[in-house]
Amino acid sequence: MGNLVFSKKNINDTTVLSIGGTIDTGVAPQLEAQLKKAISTGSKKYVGDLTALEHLTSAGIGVLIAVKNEIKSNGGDLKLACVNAKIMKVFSLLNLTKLIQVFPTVEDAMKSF
Amino acid sequence: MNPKIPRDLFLKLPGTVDYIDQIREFIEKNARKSGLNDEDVDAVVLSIDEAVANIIEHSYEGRHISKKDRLISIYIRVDDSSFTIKLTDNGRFFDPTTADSVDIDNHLNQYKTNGLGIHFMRQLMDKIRYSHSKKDGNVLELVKYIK
Repeated sequence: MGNLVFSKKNINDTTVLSIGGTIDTGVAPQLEAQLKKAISTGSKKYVGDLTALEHLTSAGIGVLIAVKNEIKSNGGDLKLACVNAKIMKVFSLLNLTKLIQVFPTVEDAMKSF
Repeated sequence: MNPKIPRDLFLKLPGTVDYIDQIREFIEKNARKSGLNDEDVDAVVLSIDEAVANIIEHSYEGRHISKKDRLISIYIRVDDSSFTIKLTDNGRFFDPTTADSVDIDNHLNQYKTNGLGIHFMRQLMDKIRYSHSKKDGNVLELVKYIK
């Protein structure tokens, strides 16, 4: 099974969710639980910092899409930052950036709200 | 033929999420030795990850088969021009090659997430074949050409 490295911090009115490790079908439920807990505070602005993300399968992408949907239905938004080339390649297979905006840095993502 | 790798390799492990990382390491190490470039190694590893997840979630899930009998066999064959992985399991009949193609834009716009793994395999591998028999169970073969 993969491994999840997760942390959350608030910067001004934005919640930064750091998601790292190897997110496969075994770990995706843990990621989902962590993200759902993190977004339950009702904040509107979320940035996923993927600096430490090494491997991501469709199970993890499914979680990101579901969480983005939940945030959006509550009037907020989720953006992603610091996505390495390997993960971007996976995103490109789905045109995922059409659904979830991706920025080079967390600061860039925060400024975009 | 790359002399650094034996022609055929084999691994058999329990078909549960606890062993996916071992399968990933086995595939990655040998895909690298075979002469595939970095991008193609990543493509093969992700495809196998998705294929194994399908076996665990569809072929074995909910089936009355004891955990010790839920096994996945992984065969690797390398030749001059291709890296082939054959996955076999003894779970329920499940043919991912016949799954409907998804219209990805439409799918994601509706926040649907099913079928993404099969989409990945189709996009990333050069050939996918499936067969099923009483003797061999489900056999999924994925091929990546060595450029």
